[in-house]
Amino acid sequence: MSEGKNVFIRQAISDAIEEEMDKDPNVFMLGEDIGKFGGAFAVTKKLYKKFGEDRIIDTPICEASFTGLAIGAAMHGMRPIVEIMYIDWITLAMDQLVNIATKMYYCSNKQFNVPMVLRTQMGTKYGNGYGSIHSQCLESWFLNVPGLKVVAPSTAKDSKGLMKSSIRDNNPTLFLEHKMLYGMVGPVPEDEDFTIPFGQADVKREGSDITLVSYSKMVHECLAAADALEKEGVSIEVIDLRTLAPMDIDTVTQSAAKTKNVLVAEEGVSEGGVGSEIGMKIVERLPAVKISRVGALKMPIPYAPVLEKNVVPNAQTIETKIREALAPCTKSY
Amino acid sequence: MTHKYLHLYREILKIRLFEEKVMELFQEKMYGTTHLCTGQEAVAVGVCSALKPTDVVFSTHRGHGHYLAKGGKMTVLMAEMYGKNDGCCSGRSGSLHIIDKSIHHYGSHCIVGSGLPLAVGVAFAMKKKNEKNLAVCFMGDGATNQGNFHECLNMASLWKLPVLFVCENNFYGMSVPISKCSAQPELAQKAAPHGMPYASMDGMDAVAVYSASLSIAEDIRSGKGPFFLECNTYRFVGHSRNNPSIYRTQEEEEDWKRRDPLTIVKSHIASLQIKCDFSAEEAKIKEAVDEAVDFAEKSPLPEFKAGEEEVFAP
Repeated sequence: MSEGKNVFIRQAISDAIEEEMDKDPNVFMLGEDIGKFGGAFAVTKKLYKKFGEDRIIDTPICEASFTGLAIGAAMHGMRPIVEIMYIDWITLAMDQLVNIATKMYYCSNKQFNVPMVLRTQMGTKYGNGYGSIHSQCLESWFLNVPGLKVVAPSTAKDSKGLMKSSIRDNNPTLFLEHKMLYGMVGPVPEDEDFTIPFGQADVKREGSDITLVSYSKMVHECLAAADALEKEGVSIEVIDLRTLAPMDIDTVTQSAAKTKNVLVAEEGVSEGGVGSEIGMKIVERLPAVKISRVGALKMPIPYAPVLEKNVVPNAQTIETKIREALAPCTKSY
Repeated sequence: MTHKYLHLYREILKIRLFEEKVMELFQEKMYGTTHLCTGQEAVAVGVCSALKPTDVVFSTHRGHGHYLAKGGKMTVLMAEMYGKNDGCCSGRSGSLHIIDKSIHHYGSHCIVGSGLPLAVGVAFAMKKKNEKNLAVCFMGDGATNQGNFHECLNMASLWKLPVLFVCENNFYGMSVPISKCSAQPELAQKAAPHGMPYASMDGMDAVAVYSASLSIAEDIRSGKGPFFLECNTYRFVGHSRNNPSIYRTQEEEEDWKRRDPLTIVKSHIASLQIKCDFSAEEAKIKEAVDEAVDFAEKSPLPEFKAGEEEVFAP
């Protein structure tokens, strides 16, 4: 069976949005510079050409209020896709997102739901020096916000399938893109009804010595580390969570039961990060599994590439951590 | 047919007596905190009486008046405050987060200024769908200093959205007077830089507020874009249920009480020589308030339900 056509991830996202906008006139987009300019990461160029300024709306710079506008529009029957250009600025929209959108369904006793997709992008572009407020990965903040779905695909196929599911979902969904992934190519099924459900992880590589759990860009860093260590005879399983909320912990624990050794890799700060939640979930199910994590140091991401590379993990950092995880435990109590 | 002035009088009285009952019962029967709108009724009643049922209203933490004036039932509101199953949100929200889709009340949002973006969003959707409705956003004077305020007035004006922003200026945030927190104390002037029409008026006179709201709503419906209406008013009670107004002088409070909305609307009724037995009206509404209390007392407690299906729509 053909895996599909090879497209850039930015196009996979764009195609998903186009197909859903074709189907449903209530779907529209809003954000900064997504109109004629085509978006800071060129995701919306063809969408503006096709749908025009009536449905691809350039907003003023006011993240708090245009996120709230999207929520209000969603309460009144529309299906907005709102873009926050860099996840670092989601801080401006937190009140509307956390205090209003995600509480609406429960607190209104199901009178209102908010079918809104909040698209944003995160992460460092290694060596490009985007600095401390254009490079962060803040997804861990959202894991304990009730009423929010959090999606973080790593491939073109996953991006397409999950974006379609996000638009069709009747709840607030945070769709996390990565600035380093837009230009990555991958096969995408051509079926317009191809979707990927939330809460379904994907084993990107099978192995038996250790399980790496990751999502978004770090999946590729994990795969690169796995390739390097394979030459030394280490067999590494890489699980791509694809969605963080809901999270498919069953696939992770199945793998953990096999390898008895799990390393969680994330690009965001390790302390209080996604890895800490996954670690706890595994401990609750399989207390005898060895668990470790790798993530960014707890400091602002510096601008100069020579500084930045020490803060944010990559394939080499993961390799080092894998070796540590596989080494016999020397701690005594 | 009931003269409109009688309707306005009855609505104000209903809110007044409801709030008095809440003040009396709160300690024993209700939870958390609540913010009464005693004294400010004419704004809610004047504006909401000029609206169509399909117009959408957004309210604030001081929102009982907006809810009742928009057509909300005293029974349902009382039950919600009692935390009972027959409340508008089955006890999930209480006073601070009243939501009732059946009367197009899209929520009291208690973070100051947080309703404005939602109202702009609803108006955006209304315009896209070619509805002839408007979104009304009530706010207090404090909200005019929030960032959202300027962001929202800008977008509403830029895109000519059908929003009526109503600022109930009662001259105090919680305890701090406008003179100490707003460089521009003439709040209606804050709409001017955003290129939208605005007005400031006496918010104690429900007839005047009603009349102004009718013509403003008509303009907005005909596509003229948003409007900012500042209504000067005063709360006769503390900020919240347990909050004494130590920051206001007795003289100031008494001055404003001489302009009680009930007194003013009664004088309008008298000036047109409309027959009205005020005592009988009061007795009737007191009875309805007591019925609301009875309804709330008898309503069952809500059942706790956890699970994804409570938090996520299917």
